[in-house]
Amino acid sequence: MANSLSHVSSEELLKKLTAFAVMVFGEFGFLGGEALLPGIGKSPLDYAERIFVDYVMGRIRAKELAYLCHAVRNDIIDDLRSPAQKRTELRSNLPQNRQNDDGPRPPAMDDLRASNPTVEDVLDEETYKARVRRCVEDEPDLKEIVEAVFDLNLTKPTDIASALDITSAAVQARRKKLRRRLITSGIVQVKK
Amino acid sequence: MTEKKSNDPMKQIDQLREALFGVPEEIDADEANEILQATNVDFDAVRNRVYERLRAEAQPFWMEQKELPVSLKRALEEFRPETGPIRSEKELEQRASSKISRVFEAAKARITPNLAVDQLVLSSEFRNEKEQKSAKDQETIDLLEKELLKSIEEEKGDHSD
Repeated sequence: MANSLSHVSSEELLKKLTAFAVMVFGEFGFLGGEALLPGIGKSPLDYAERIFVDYVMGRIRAKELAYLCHAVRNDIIDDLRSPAQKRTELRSNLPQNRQNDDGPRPPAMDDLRASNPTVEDVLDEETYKARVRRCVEDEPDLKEIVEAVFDLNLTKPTDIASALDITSAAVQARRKKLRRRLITSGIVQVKK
Repeated sequence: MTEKKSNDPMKQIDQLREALFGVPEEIDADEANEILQATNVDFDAVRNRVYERLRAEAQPFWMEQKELPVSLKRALEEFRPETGPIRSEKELEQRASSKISRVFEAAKARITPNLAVDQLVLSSEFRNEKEQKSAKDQETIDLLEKELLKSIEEEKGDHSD
């Protein structure tokens, strides 16, 4: 496992940062490489690119990939918490004019509910756990991992492997499956 | 066996996330490719975009003829499209030099056949004209003819080097 950035080519680093940004977007319910943060208009690629360029220019000094990935995630979360993003979630308080005819009326702003939860929702521990649990309900092997982490407070693969009586490699494989689910389905679409 | 919990809610979520999805280093190059493909990321387009951004970052260094940071230089080399624009002053000089050489070669190829001095015959019409020409005029014409032939010989020698 290449932890040191000195052994990672620029191309591989950019790919990994982009893949990671796509995963973080998945955590917040924005799926796909072309997804944009509402009110911000940035895609996962924008975040990966910024951190990559800052690293290459020496504006971020890091020796490990994890540091840069955290920087990508923090940038995304900062933008999700920004006033610009929050404004997009405001709903109109104006009373709606009822139409006299019986025909269908056009949708008003109040009818349009945000499809994604707020960043506070996602970053609330209990909410986060509830969403993840629901997300893996139909997958027993993933459910076991989730329970080991949430109920037994295990975080290390060796500990999880020991508790589930499986190998560490099997834990890694299940984590990979979880990551796949994260980018294809997201976790926050699952209602509380 | 259990991990100590952090009081920072953000850190707690981070710990949970890493326990569930693994640390970033677990994503190897193959999986990164799979993720990009699964989410329809056109990495070639990303590469090109980042390359242009890096070039913009490199411009001030090139303008001031300063050495590029090592990681920037490396990234530019990796991301550079084959038909990409010039990267540095040095490369600009190299390309310009080779372009000028090519122009000279082409020009030489067009000029050289016309410098077939061996077969050159100067017109004798004016030289042999008797009217309105003194003996001194004739000397001057002969001298100029010699100088011209000598100059053409020298030119021919330069081109054959």
